[in-house]
Amino acid sequence: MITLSIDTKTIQVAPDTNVLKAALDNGIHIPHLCYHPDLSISGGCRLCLVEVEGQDQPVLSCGLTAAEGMVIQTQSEQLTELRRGVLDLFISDHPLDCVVCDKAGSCTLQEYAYEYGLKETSYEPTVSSALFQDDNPFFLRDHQYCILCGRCVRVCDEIVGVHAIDFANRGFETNIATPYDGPMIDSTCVFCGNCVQVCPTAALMPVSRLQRGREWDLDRTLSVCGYCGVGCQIEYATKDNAIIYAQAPEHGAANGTFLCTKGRYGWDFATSPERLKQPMLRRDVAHKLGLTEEPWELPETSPLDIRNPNVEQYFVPVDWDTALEFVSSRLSEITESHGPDSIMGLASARCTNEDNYLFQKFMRAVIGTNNIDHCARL
Amino acid sequence: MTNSVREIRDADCIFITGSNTAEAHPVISYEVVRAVKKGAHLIIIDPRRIPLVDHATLFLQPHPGTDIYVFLAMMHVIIREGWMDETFIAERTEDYDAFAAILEGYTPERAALASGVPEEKIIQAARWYALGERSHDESIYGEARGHSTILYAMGITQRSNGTDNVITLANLSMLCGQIGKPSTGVNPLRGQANVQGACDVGGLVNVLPGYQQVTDDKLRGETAKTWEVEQLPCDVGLTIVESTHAALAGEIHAIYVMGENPMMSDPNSNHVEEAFRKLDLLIVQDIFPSETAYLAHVLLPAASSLEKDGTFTNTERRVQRIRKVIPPPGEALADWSIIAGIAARVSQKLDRKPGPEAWKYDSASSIFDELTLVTPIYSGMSYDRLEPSGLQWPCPSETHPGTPILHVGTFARGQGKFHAVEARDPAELTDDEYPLTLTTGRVLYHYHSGTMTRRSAPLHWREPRGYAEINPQDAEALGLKDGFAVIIHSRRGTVRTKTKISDGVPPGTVFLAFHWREAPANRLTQDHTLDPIAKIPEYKISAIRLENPRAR
Amino acid sequence: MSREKLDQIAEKEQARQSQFDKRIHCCISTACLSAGAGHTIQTLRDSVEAAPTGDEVEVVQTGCMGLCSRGPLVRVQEKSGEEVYYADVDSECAEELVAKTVSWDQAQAKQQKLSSELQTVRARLETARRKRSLKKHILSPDMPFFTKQVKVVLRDVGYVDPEKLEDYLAHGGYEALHKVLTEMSPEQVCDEMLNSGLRGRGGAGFPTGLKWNFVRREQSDVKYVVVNGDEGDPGAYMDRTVMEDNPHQVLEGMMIAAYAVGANHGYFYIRAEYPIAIDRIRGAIRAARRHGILGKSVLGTDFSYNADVRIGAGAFVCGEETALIHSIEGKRGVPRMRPPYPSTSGLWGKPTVINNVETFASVPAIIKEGADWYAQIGTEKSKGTKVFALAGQLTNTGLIEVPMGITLKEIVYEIGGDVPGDAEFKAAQTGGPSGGCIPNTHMDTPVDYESLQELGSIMGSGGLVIIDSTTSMPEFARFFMDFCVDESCGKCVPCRVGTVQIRTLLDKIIEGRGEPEDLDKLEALCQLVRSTSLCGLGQSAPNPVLSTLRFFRHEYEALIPTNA
Repeated sequence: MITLSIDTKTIQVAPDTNVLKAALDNGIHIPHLCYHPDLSISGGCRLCLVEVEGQDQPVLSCGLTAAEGMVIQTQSEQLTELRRGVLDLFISDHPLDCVVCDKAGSCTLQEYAYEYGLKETSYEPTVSSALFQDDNPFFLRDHQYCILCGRCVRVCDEIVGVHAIDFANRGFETNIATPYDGPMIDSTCVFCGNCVQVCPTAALMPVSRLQRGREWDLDRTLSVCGYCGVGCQIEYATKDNAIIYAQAPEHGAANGTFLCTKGRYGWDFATSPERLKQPMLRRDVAHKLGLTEEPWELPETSPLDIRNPNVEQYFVPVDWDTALEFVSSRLSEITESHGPDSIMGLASARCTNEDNYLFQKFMRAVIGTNNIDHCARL
Repeated sequence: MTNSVREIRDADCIFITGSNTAEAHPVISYEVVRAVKKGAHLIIIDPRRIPLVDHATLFLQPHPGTDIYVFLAMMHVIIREGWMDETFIAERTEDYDAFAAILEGYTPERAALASGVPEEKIIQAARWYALGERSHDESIYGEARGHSTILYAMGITQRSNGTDNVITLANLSMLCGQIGKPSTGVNPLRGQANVQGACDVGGLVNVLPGYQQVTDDKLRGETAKTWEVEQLPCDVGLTIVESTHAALAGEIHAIYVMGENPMMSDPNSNHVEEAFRKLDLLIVQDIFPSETAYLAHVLLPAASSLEKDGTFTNTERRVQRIRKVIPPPGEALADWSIIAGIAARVSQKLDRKPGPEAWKYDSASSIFDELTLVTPIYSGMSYDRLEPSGLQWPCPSETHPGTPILHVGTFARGQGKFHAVEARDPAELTDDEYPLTLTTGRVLYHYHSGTMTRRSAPLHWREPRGYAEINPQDAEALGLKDGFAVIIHSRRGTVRTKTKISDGVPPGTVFLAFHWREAPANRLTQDHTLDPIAKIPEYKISAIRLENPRAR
Repeated sequence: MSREKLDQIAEKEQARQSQFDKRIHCCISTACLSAGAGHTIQTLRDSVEAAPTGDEVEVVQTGCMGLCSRGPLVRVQEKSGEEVYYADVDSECAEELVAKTVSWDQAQAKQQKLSSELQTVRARLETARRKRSLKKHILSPDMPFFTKQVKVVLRDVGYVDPEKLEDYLAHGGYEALHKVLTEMSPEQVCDEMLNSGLRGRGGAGFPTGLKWNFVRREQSDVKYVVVNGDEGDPGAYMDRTVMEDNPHQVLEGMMIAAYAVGANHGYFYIRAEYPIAIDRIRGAIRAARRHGILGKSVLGTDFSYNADVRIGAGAFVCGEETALIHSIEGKRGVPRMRPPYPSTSGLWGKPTVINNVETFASVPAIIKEGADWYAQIGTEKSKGTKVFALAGQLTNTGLIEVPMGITLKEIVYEIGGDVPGDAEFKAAQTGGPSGGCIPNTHMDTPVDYESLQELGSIMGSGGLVIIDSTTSMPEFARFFMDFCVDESCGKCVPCRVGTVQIRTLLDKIIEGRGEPEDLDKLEALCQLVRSTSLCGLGQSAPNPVLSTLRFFRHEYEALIPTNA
């Protein structure tokens, strides 16, 4: 381990740790926009300057490897001056429409402008890039808000491994582009939205959150993705019992700070109008029970071949008591007439441990059969 | 998984087979990409040129069904060249000699002939895996032998010799001592959010919660005692596919389906439908009226995983909390609450001990507390202890930190046992009538039978309809172009879909995902020959024929 | 190929050359070519062929002779070593020159049958013989332009046929390489460089021997040597000239470096705007391969080396070493933070020596003549010579090589021959867009790394632009700021946005909309960009503004409306 001092605090870090990480891990905040702990070092934002004892000029802490006995100052008049100057340049090329911006409250540039007291730029405001419309329903790309920190480019290449975007053009005209600047869908993009997750400004935003609530209006619930078995932790932002957007938490156990397209964007099925909202009995069953007048017979068309499935053509809604009474009496009758092993239970890999546990307990302890399986092999 | 997801990034060599990781487990592919960028070797053995091949340092493309020849030949080479870990074999394993003797016949020459993979690639893969070699930069482990990890998924298990495949990979890891250490191991990537947990808590025909055999009187007795019932059934039950056969035979009269869609996900759908139509009672408890629901007598509306509390256990055995994010729609209820309601009523009607009162649970948490009493690997867990990142089983006591890596120092059964395995061919080989091989799986934007993802607007926008991936050679032979309609025939049925002409599949192989209700892949798959031990269907290999409807 | 065989080639070439009483050197470097040297050399050749005598005369294509503003340049070299320079040699002049160089003595007449075309040429020569205009083309060998120069890098430039390996060998080429391979250890080579005091000629002036030693000490199976030929400063063409006019000299220096650090492969990175340099370097590589100078067993030793050319794609920033490395690797040419320096992690992550063309071109002479010889040229901290591209409002412009420590005064008034016309010398700009302006009040400043830095400028790679009293300094600064805005790679915000804002302020001031506080604002912004930019390009981008603000603030102030 290496021992160094940051703002008079003595800190121990592993060899090859950079000073910015050492500081952040120990609760010392140094402003930064392009640095991300999971990505390679860029050094483009120039904000994480610190003073190193024995060196004349301030040094970027993200590119500085911690060394034994190093003495670091993260705050000083000189550093404040430099950071303020750099931020002033950043906001000269960024629309200052925070009052209507959906990212307000979680925008890192806004946070630093506040911290360094920059109400407006002291230069001629000149926004370098135009709004870029991409018709994808996953995320919005707005180059006007882009500060070219390059996190999106790096996450796409270094983590996701698809390299769908990169810097194009140069100097003030630099922008983030797909090959030939075409729409995302024509690129190698896999719509995982990890670029959106690491974007510090409003350049990349989930479409689902636009105009749906300010950051401070949202409630957050940490849960686990319901798709594949990786078990990514997801933080759902909700307002008035509706999901506004989903993102990875800062430290997901299996997923770190990343997700895939299904986890991040595939939650809107929950509010589909097709959801089953009440118990239902098939029309022939309901008729037999005297709940409907029309006699009915199950059509021969395979369920796989029904063109536009409409559940109400086949079923009638009933209350829970009716449904449960029907299910329990039929199960009891069949158990008694054909024996417990004439009943099969299919549990589910999409249900919780608690659900599955009760299900198999029911099959074993109440029905009395080990005919209990689930889709583990499918 | 024997090891944890986040160890993959530090591996020196990653060996992936039968897993389209970037599409089916994208977040694990991120770990793989990170490792490769840091200098790890990535060996991929797969009949399809899956997206992750772009990052592979070695890609072996065997003909479908022949991968076991490659695995066996790798071990042959490892022994021949002396790359195995003799200390590990001597100290931690047994039955090595019989196993090694069988391998003598599995030369790389033979494997090359059977699989079409060049010998030198097999030798290269053997060396890199066995010795944990890197392409560049230093290993973080700094040991003479680098750390190699195996990742696999349904590509090798959904086969009539799936168990043999898994045993072979386990043998390979033991042979090279690549198990019981960080960034090593044999790691099945499980495909569904709680498939691990459903198994852990007894959702299987042969085991009670915690993998306690139903045939073991003592263990069964203990569980019965906790549950306060007189006795529990002692015969191994019927698996899914067996139960459809039994329904057709008139032996199964009722099926209670919770959160599954067998009409889409089980092999030979026409056969499944026939069986379900014969049932006296089909209960479907789900969040949507699935394809299976249209054959049910009763539908019970359930809350989705976004609408309830509970726990999921992920592929690395990590038990994590899920929480109610939004309320369930209408009268939908959490599955456990529906089951408890049914169980209480059936208990009453059948006069089962300890009676309906025992089925009154006030929360998911109280069920979990009971679960830990009968599930030894979960004994030390509680909702409080699962904050914030869950616990990996086994976690046998309240102070146990969980187990990120299995088989450290000793195997669960003591010594690691080498099972000698011979290569076997798939159940259904191609012939003149059905000259092509169909393999099924998933695409990135959809999940399983599509019940959820096909109702998600962004995912639907990106991948709106089904298609069959066909190699340009095969397409040309039939005059098929990209986006044309194509009819796929197997001995079980017929499916019509669109083509996607792609080099991702080799000549002779067709890929069709099983998400598409308008092109249900499982109308084509076979249900007659399952893996004899795991009873898993051979989804990955069916003999088919393509028809170009324009050519009629 | 062994040394002996190369010696044989060299001797054969020397013997061949010594047959001629007179050799007419004609510069075919870019500047002279654009002034018509292509016609000139053709006329020279045809005329010699058509002349009644002339077997004793050889026309040789060579590189730059320095006084580019007076091209095409031709030099007549006598066997005795005596030389006469001719300037502005057009076809007419070339005919007269040949007519007066060859002998018309019938006794020596060669036996030949002239084609009808050559008969016409002969007729023209007869006329030319009687003309009297040649004299005004003669440049005096005593002019300070020649006498004030000390040639080390350019010693053979202008004498050697750049497309002829034999000629390079005849001038002692690859002797230095042979010497290091057979007589010196890599460590000794590095020490020799260190003792010579040679500092990087790309501009930053890092001691070459030190850099080589870093790379030499790195443990790595693969190392690289890279020649930085991405010369991009407006008006600078030192490196282009050396690559075009004596490509083997650069290759030899590069190979000595490779031996010294333990590299077996290297790249020339040359900007696409230098097609002739690219051709000549490629030609040199091919010739060297054919003669066993490059390849498995260099000069018969067990040292192996190969070199390739990579062409830039028009980005100034790719002259920055980390951006250059990215560009060779096929990535976007943007700089990255250092450390790690290329000496530890360079091309494809391997230890890499990157020096500019002039640095490598200095190496063979240092090895041959010794570090002590080199170290006696120049000043205490800046040793040796420096090549400058002298441009701007000056009588004599062109390529010069002067000892370090020479004063600006000497360069401007003596070598440069003063500002033409009525205007007066106002300032000298060194270091291109990264440099600064030195006012005429500091004319006695010695030209060395430290002195220039003290004045807010830099040595740079060798651009030297002379500005006279007719030029507005704020506009001059804006020209360079335009250049930096165009050439910023866009990676870091101070350079990407800062340069644009500096230019906006300059526009405002120059257009007469300035406010009194704008000058302080401009200065503060320049300081910010200088101290917070990522790479040298951004850090030095404000220099032209800062140095003109320092020495010519009154010109800025004069632009600010008084009532504002």
